[in-house]
Amino acid sequence: MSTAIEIPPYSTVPPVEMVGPLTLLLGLIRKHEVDIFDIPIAFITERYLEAIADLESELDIELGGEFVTLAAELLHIKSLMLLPKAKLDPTADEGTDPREELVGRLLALQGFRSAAAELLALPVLGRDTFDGGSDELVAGDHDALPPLASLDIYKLAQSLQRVARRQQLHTIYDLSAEGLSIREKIVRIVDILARRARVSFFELAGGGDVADLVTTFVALLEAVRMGLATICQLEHDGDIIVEAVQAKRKAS
Amino acid sequence: MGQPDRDDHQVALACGVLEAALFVAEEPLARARLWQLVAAHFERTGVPAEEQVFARALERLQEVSADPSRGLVLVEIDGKLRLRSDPRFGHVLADLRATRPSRLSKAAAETLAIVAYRQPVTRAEIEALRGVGSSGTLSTLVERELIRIVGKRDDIGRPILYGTTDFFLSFFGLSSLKGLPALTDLAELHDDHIPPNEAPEPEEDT
Repeated sequence: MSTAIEIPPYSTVPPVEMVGPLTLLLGLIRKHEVDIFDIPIAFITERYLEAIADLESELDIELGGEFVTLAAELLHIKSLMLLPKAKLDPTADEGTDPREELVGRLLALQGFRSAAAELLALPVLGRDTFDGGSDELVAGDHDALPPLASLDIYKLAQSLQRVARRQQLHTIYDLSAEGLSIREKIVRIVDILARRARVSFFELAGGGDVADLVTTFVALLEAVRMGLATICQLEHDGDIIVEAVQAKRKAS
Repeated sequence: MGQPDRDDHQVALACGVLEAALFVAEEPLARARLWQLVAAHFERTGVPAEEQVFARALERLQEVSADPSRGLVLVEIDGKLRLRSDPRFGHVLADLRATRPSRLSKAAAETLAIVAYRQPVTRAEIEALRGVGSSGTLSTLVERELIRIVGKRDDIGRPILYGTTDFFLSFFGLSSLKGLPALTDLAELHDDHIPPNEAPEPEEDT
């Protein structure tokens, strides 16, 4: 078999942003006619996990991490509810329901969702009602803006972007090739450390320009991460002493 | 005062000026501006304009626009007045327009409501409430000029603050932000100990 890897199709644009995890959960609570103030967590968690599995297979995509986060939260709540209410902490509030925080969030979202529905039930310009004349401001119709409309700084920046996009202005950046690679720098540091057990960072980076300094510093951090060197700094803003790892071991 | 016929005539005339002005104006007109126009017309005809006549003319126009045989309604947007087509006929009128505004998606409407009621608000706060990434929805709303960047909060990272635009009021035909439908506090409907301000603290982006 030549192809073992299946490339997922990207033809469908998933309407995922429409449905956030909280919205999905709200929908399930309504669908199963569950009392939002007394959510059977085990039941609703099961329905939730089913729903996200369905969504994934339907849309053929991986859902965002926030869906998984909420699933984890639900399981966490369930585990808190199962724990015996031991009075380990006498100051702990006995009456706190582990579901309370989640319910608060669901209600807040539900409140805004109904407010949104009420807003959309108003006579909306361009849908239900129209201004006289032909050159009214239609949402998103920027050409209809009067030439000297009062603009704030963000609007100005936006307009500039729009003009730039329209004229396809592309900024050409002049980039010069990087002279040094971090890998090379690491090798250099290790080489030096092979000869001398200890070297100062100022010495390592000395004589170079800013790019060189940054490369050396990143390379040094990388070397430490890889366990090739250890570093210590004796005073704030002071020099960094780089030591070979083996040398340190012998010393201690 | 003692000349009801003359007064009625003047009110009718002023009402006509108002209707004509609101028909021609490209933007909602403030009451002060309308008063100027009425006064200017009366001055030309040599009759002193009275504020009381103006007030009655506005009332008359209001009554006329409530008449079901008329196709225009007088609306107050951001404290200013404007004539708009009666919402009853929206579905047949849309075809007359070349451009049609695209519908607001559920996500957009939800985000817009949060901005409207919680402004000025940061993206992180919106996302904490919705439980989902909202940057795309926010930029769509900014693009449609329903919300705008109103500044930055003096806080770590100087997060951008969003608020609604003047066009938002115009879009929904609202006289002011106070005219927003009341936000029902669902937690209060229940006899429970959930705090009335049930919004969670904005979570940090992780």
